[in-house]
Amino acid sequence: MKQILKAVSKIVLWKPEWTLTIPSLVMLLTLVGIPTLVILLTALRTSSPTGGVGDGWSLEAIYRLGNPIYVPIVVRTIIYTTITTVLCILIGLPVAYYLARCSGRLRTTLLLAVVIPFWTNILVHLCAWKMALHPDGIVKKALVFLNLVDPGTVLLYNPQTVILVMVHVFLPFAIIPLYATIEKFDFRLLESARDLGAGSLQTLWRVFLPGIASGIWSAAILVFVPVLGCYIVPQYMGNANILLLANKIEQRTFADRNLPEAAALSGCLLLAMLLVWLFFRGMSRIHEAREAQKETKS
Amino acid sequence: MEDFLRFENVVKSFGANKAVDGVSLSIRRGEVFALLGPSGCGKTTLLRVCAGFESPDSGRVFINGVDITKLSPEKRPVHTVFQQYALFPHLSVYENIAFPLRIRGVSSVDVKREVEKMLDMVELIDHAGKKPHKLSGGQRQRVAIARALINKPQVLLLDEPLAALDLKLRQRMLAELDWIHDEVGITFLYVTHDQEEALGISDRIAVMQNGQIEQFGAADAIYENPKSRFVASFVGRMNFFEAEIVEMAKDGTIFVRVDETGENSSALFKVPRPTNGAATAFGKRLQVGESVLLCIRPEKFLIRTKSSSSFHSGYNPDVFQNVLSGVLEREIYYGSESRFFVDIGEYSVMATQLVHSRSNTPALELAQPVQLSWHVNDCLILPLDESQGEVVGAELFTEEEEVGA
Repeated sequence: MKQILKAVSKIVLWKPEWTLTIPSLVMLLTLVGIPTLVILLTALRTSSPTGGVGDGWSLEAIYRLGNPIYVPIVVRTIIYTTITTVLCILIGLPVAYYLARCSGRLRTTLLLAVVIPFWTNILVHLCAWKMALHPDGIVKKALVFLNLVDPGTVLLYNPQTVILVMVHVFLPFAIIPLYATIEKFDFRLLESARDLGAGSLQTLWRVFLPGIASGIWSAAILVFVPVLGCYIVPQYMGNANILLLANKIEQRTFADRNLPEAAALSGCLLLAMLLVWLFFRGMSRIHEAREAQKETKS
Repeated sequence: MEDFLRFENVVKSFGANKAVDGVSLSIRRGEVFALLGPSGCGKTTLLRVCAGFESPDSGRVFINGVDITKLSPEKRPVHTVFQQYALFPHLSVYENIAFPLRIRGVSSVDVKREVEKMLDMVELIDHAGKKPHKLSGGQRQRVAIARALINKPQVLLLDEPLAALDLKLRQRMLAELDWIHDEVGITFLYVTHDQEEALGISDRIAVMQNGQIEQFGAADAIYENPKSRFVASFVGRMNFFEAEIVEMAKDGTIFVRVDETGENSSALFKVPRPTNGAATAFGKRLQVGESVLLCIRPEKFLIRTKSSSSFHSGYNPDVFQNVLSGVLEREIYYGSESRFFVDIGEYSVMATQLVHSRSNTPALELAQPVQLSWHVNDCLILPLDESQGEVVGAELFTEEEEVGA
């Protein structure tokens, strides 16, 4: 017993920071690493006609990814994700700007108003939206009352609704990194630009946006990656009308019971996320390094 | 010369605080005009009103006769060199300087020619491709100046442009700014709290305090004929004595006595009557028995050991000199000059002496009696303003020097 303790303490003292990381590493490995590996391996198995995984290894599931039915799904997924990301950043920018510029208690209150929905479970958002947009819901009634929509219009289960809800759910992911970057921005640069003859738009375009580029890229990663794999929003808000990649995976898993093909699709999605993440992170790092250098030197 | 940049009764408040309180000022075309004052005196606010970053509560600003009070900053023919330079971190030196031209949509051939001319002027040709963070403080400063000058503004505003630099660099940049001004001939409005900078670079100076202009005029006029105790102590160093007028001669000379100066207390000192400039009104209403402030700059004194001369304290008509006797208490050696502190009764008086050569300056020994003498015309009297605090002799440091040190 004594020797074990001695050995443990030796390891702890040798690399204390590693020791502290062990619990989370173990968790990450068992709950994320191994399951991911299992999924990737499943993609290389045969499917059993009874549903589930058959015997032996095969590249059949991989070949089936070439099925032309996937093309519109992938294109749709990319379009939805891109629109959502762009909207989140466009809406998030002025909000983050205002947050960074207002002061004291107002800022704390507003930040809380951004963070609380961020902490709220996505299902709660979806239920709320469903109730609001329901034919008897408050939004629908209000719009009809204001003569903005026809009483027969269905607000749910269409592409705009899916994007609206995705933007709403993922907006805090954009606001928070944008706010953090804008808060550090040197606003005297804007005065300097105006002084040198730049109008508001030129100041925004030539000085402000380049100055907060790292924040924009971080916001883009934080929105794009989860939206790419988002399955529950189209599922709930679009019913079966709007099929994104994640929904197809769900369909292959539960309806078709073709686990290898679902696994192969998941692998593709994972790869896509990895590439997107690497690209955005690269862009963000370039700008961050630039800003960091600026800070240390000045 | 004509008035080129004109402030007309400008008032600007922030809440209850009147940062600029009714300033009227005329600046001539092509001159370097300094706004000098301690922090919080309103000089930067006045500059920001001129740049268009603050709109005045009342009053107007004219450039070349055109009212620019309501123009937005980008439409004004003025550019600013900011204290922290405010260079764009994502642009290279070249692009920073080109920025104002790019905004105007100048063709890239012309941009290249103009930017290279500027780079040449500020000697940064070799650094054109660098980002601002790679440059030293002085280089950044020069980029900021080049960027502000490339559009050929009618007025260049400089907001404490040298405050972020160390002493040596500050002196060099001051000389460079002076050279650049000669080169471009644009009107400079130079805001600073550093009196040496202001005296060194400007043709005329306005000393500001509490949002108002305390005194303005040529640099030497401000230094030699300050109008108030504030100006006298803020610009340069000054010894102050509380004096009482004993006699007023018909020829305009005044004799005063200074109490609490030990053996000198009974002596009379001759001072010139304030006749010119801002102090004329004060000079006219002086009366026998009135208390005034006697001011003598430390460098005006001649220091002698007491044994080597036979002058008595007070005015010596044969040499037109006043003499104060005291005891040498302390010397602070600065290399090129020495500052001596002489105990004279309740006063500690500062006298500076240039160190010409070790051999021909008779050594002054501490704790020995000495005499300080000065020519009658090298002192002045000012109103004794009790609100400005007690009179204690040498005012060693202005507020800013202490903060800046």
